[in-house]
Amino acid sequence: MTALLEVRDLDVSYGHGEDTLHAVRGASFSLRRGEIVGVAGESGCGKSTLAFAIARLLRGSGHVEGGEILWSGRDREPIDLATADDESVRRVRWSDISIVMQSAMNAMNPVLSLRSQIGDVIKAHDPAAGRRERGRRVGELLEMVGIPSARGRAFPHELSGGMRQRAMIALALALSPQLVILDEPTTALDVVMQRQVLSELKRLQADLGFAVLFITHDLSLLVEIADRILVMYAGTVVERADALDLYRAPFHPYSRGLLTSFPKVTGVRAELTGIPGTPPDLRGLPDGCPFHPRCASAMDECKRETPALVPRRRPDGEATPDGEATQSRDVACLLYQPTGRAQ
Amino acid sequence: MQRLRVLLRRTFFYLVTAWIALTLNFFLPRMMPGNAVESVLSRLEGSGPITPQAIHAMTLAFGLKTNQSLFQQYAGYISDIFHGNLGTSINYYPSSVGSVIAGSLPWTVVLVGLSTVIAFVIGTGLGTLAGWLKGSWLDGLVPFTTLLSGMPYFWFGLILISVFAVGLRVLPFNGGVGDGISPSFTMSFFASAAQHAVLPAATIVVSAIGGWLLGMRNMVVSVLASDYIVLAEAKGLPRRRIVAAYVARNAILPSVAGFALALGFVVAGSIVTEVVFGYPGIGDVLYIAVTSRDYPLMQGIFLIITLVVLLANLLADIVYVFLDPRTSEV
Repeated sequence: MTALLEVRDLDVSYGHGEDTLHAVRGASFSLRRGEIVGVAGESGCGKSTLAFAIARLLRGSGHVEGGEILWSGRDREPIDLATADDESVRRVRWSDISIVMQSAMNAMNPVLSLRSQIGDVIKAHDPAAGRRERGRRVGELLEMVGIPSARGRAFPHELSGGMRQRAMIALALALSPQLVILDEPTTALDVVMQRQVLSELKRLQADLGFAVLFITHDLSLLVEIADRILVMYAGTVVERADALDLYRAPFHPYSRGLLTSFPKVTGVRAELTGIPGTPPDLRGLPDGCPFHPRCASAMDECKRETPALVPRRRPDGEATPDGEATQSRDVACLLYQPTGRAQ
Repeated sequence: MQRLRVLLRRTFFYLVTAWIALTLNFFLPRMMPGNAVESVLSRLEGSGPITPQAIHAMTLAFGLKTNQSLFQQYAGYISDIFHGNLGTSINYYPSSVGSVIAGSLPWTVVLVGLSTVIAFVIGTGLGTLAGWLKGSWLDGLVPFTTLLSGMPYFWFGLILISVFAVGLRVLPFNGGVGDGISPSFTMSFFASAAQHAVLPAATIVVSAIGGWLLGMRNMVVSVLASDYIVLAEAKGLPRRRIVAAYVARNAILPSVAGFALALGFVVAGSIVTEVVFGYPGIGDVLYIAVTSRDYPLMQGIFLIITLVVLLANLLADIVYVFLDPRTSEV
């Protein structure tokens, strides 16, 4: 079966010429139907840029410099979203790929009611649906995320933060998309609300079977919800693994640091260690592995050689928690030896 | 309903403001030294001695009730206003202030009102486009229109007169309508009035357009950077819907408030234009009233200006309540 979304060697930059900022460099991954893929990393690592590049929503001087974003939607010829014309992209938007943004307050038009903000997207992609039909579907969508349909008349400022975020989810599901991009969907909420919204999302995903690209800085949250995880650092994917494997045995020292930076929502309390130093300046990356100045395990060759994201295995003799499953994976780190075998 | 409650409260607020304005309008002239009769007397002094009887007759004619207490005068003043009686003009004696204003106000309302509306519509329309097409040739014109609005408009009016009225002789340079044509519902009157209105209207439109354009353009640019525009694009909405319901709808809110204020100053803000073009509007009359110290007329015009400004503000509030749901929040 072909992947729903196949991203190959994606380069995304802001600006041109000398001031160019390479926000995403050579990112590759695939996403299958119904799969939840998480992207984790600190702010500025390029995870949001990656998500917005896929939906072709880069702002200002942002542009795709190279690579492919192959989309094989249901009932649709596969297209490369990096190069397709605007009208083709517009048709794919929302009916195939929708987004939930970080701040529902800012992502909603303050002068339109919920009803008309959900209604207009139905109208744009399904002109055959009449006024009454649209009203009925908006009501159903709101009920689906636990908002009484009468609240559809409300304006964004009249809703609580959690309700707004749930309304955003209802909006995202308005056209039964095959992929929902979640850009830090719970960051602006308090912990209790985060839980509610996440379990809501999990339930809907299980019911409706859409694929999810989940962007967050909270790796421990991803471990709970995602099937596979990409860890990004300084614009590159540094580790790509199944969620459970990554949780059991993070390979990249950066992944390890991320995992110990957040308290786990369930399970035993572990010491939070975090990662020393600050996220790198993308305009002045060090030679070699971009992470080496902050890495406790850095070796001399880390300063010279830039590791590629290839299948690598643990050095012989090193203990692994779960045997073969966590013996090897795609990771960009010189601590591990490349294997010939593709994962 | 929430909206109705907000509107009722605003209306009450404006009624109180109107009353305060009326009261000030009564007391201010009375706190100034001298009165209308004295000002006429000083003008007539050269032409010979004036008998006390003549002074008394004038005092009665102007409605100056010097024998009454201030409170009685105030009560009479308020009741007069509610009966539409604003006194007698000195300069246009024996015309009443009411009839002088009624004869000049429509000229101003039509000329300046229409020009203000035209400038607003063109300015915000072009501003939306310039903001949406930021960096295009249209956006590049913005400094030029700002320059036009920075120019003193009476000076611009004089240039128009010298080019089109004096040089090319294609348009009249003065007055509201041709000689011998009186206001009536005839084609010849409207044609002549329109011809006379072209130059003053152009002056007002050209000088006002830049402000609307720049304000709208900048608001559009800042609205475009907001998350809900990104989301509107992500929704794959047609461009028309994004520009109208998401960009312009939000960007226009500050302009609407400005527009209502501008409408309020339609009556007051046209003095220079009307004087330059000899236009028979209320600005011209106010200028004459001030230079001839026609207190009753001045007072009447100030009253009208105050009420129009308040009315325009109320209108802005009403429109705002419907345009921006957040204003009904208490």
